[in-house]
Amino acid sequence: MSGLARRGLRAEWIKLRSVRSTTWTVLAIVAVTVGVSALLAAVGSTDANKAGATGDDDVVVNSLRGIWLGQVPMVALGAIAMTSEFATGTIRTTFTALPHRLNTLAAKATAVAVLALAVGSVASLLSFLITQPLLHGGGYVGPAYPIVSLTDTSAIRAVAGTAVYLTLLALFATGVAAIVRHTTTATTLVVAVFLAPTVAMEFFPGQLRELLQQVAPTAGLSIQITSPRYDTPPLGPWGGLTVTAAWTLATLLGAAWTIGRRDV
Amino acid sequence: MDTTIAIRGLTKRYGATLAVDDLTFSIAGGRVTGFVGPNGAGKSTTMRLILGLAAADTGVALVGGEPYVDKRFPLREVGALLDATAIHPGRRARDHLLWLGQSNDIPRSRVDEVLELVGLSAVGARRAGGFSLGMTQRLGLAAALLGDPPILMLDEPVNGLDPEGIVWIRGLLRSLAAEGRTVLVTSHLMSELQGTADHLVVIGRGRLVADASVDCLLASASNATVDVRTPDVTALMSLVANTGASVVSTDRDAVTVSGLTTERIAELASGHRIRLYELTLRRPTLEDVYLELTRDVLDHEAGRQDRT
Repeated sequence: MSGLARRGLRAEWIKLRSVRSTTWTVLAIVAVTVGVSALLAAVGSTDANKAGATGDDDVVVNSLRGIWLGQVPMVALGAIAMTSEFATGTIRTTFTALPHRLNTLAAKATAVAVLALAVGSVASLLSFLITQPLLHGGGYVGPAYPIVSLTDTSAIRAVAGTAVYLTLLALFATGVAAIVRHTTTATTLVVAVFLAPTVAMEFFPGQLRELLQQVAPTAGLSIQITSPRYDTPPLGPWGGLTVTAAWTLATLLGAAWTIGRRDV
Repeated sequence: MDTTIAIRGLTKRYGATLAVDDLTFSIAGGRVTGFVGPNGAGKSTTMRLILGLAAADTGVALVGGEPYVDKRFPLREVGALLDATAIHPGRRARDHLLWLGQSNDIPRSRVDEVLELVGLSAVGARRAGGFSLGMTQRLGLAAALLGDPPILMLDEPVNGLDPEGIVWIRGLLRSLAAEGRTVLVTSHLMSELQGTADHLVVIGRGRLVADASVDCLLASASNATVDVRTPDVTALMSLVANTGASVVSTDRDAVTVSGLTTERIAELASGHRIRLYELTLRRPTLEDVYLELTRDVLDHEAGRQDRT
């Protein structure tokens, strides 16, 4: 790593860890993701509500459903890291200390990514470990639902992939925040972009819904799927994650384009 | 090492407003330069243009011979205080200085040094949001001094400081300049600059109004006047008028004379048995000079404090 990149990353990491909003959002991400996953697993059961029933539910997906709410504080984490600088005026101090703005943006994105990946991993792993026994208690047992362990390739892919998905989401928020420079606008925009398609899908006819599912930023959630069925998006786990990554990349490129061109 | 700030034809337009209009001047090291002008004159904009925070439409600003944004370790060359309140309220003072220092490879020990220097050692672990304006200002100064820079650019550094703090910063600015550093400081308190600045750059409506030493400006100002209190106003006025000097009545028993020394007035009066109760010389202050210079370009009514 060049000296400039190292200095930028160090500064951004200190900034990130030295404010309370980071602590709160990190706690919220873990608590909400794990809490909601566990709650949904505890109240859910197999269709027949009896042990050993057959079915095509994906117990891995079902163990990670808290992510739908957990992604909201994750958006806040990614957005606030950037917008707090504009809100407080610290951005001027930042650009005075490190005038190479692209480097500073990259440093901030890296710091956010490292933290998001760590927190996302904890949230995802805890959700899986806590909900699996709950699901079993709710009737998800063999032979239709054999015990899923973390040594299963698809389970690892789902759990680790969920953390990656959350990281991409945080970075997407950071990118949007760098462009719109305002906390409320940024978080509203990101949450809308991520949740609106999901809500809208319910009202759209099959074909349009399928298309929307595949191009929406949430397409990356397909990384959680371990047992494909009729309504599984055709892009596959990695294809979906690539779509989310493309959204994030496009946003960060937009941020990189604007950050050096505007007065602060 | 080159420690000058050189501005050539700097221009910045915001919509219909010409914030900085073809500004050219140089700031040399080893002295305190006051950067003054009425409200909205473009001082802060000029500072931001120099630091590369805003892009100039035309013209260049060189700091130590190169654009600020080209510097590898800018904090070690230039210490800037733009708006001390522009700080994250939830961050501890020490952490604020720590990230700044780390961004420019400034050793951690320096953080405690500058906290000590500005008198904030005891509150380094407190969050900046709980600081008074004076403490915030001191923290901003600590940040500017962090890299021990040869060039300092301070926007309203005395803002919010108590009288003790003002005396302290006056001494600090003088000693920094005495060490050969370039010290550029904006202020709306002209009296403050009179005791501190060696040189003044005055701007108004984005244009250069004056660029001269404080001594030179004071010398060029209108002549001193003399306030006289006497029960024989009419007699004294005609006497003074006969000498060719100008005199105006300011009260029932008072006149202001310009063009005569106190000695001359006293001699004239005693020669004609006119009683004098008071004889006071009024020297032009920097404030007078400033008001005279900026009278034509005042955007706002006189007397309003300038905070940009």
